[in-house]
Amino acid sequence: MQMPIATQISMVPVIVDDDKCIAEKGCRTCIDVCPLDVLAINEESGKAFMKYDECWYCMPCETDCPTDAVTVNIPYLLR
Amino acid sequence: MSNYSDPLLNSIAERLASDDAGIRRVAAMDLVDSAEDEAVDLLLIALNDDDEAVRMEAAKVIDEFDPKEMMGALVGALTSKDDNVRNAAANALADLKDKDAAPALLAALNEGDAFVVSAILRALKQLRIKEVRPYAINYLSHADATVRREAVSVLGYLQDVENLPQIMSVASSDTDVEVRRTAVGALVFASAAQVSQALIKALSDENWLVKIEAIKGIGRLSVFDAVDNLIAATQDSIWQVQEKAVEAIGKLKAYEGIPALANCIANPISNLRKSTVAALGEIAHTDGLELIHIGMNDNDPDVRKLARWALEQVENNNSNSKVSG
Repeated sequence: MQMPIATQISMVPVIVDDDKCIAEKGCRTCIDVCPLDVLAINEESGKAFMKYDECWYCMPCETDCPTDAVTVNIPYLLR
Repeated sequence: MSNYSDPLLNSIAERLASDDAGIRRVAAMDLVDSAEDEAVDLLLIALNDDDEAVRMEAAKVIDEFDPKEMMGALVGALTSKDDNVRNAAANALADLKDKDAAPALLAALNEGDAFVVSAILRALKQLRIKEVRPYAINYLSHADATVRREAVSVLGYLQDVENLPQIMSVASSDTDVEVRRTAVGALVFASAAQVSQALIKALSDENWLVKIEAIKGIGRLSVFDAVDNLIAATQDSIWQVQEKAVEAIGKLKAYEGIPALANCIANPISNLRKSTVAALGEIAHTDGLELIHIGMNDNDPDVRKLARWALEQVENNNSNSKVSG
């Protein structure tokens, strides 16, 4: 079964700050480390974004991001 | 146009030449996937980039490279204006452990600031080569304490009794605590007869960290001449010093230290009480039974457990002496 497409960027757990993201310069760190491959590059802006609304909250996308552009919002009950 | 055999290196080289710092930064990050000899030049370019973020990413990948292949670059990087680069280079040099690199390291010693000299001494320490001795002795009087600490550490690593007078002198007279502590720790390669007086002298150092280092050395080398000093140290105002002194008394099986342990078994710090009953078990003398029984009624279960073990040791020791007697 295919993962659900994230329709509303502000509601997904992985938020990418476009001002900090340097994906358009060639960085693919968050995309490479995601075990679910849910992050992708927005073809218009060149920035990373959460394409599929699925997350294990494993955190490497946030911790490995060289510019601290990624924030993972962990649901209250999982904290 | 760059001309590397690996297409990724060509790509990194082109991007490192970009006007855009973000592109150069990502190129520096990509060096982690191409940490081979051929890429050393590119790493150097990234380490010397104008942009701090690029230098930082390059510093992160330094330890992915073989330090032997980039020794010259690492020595050069020690003088970088960027602390990330300097520290990464210093750490990589410390992992070098290649005696062939010694001449170049010794040559670089003469032309650096305190940070460079410390880093190179740290790298040379691992090599344990005699040629470093005159340099290390010279740096014992350097104005910077970090340099003096590395210098005395180098002499300790050489494990040569010829260096004992210098190490002992630093242990007793350097103005910096860490330097004195390192020097005292560096004495333990020698025999008890050679360094007992220096270790005993260090027991009266004004700093408790130096005292602890001295007590550890006394225990390790079994300096029986120091028992009286250890007994005095069981009454120190710092409980960590007391604890180490108690442990050393146990290790030396110095039963004459038992009366002094009465104070420690009543100490509010349970770690000290634990070490005390453990030491009584090591000594395994009937004179310690009274204190062991106090330990058996301690509030802390670990103290009680060790006290039971100590009692067993005394009983075993007692029955063995009866059999042999």
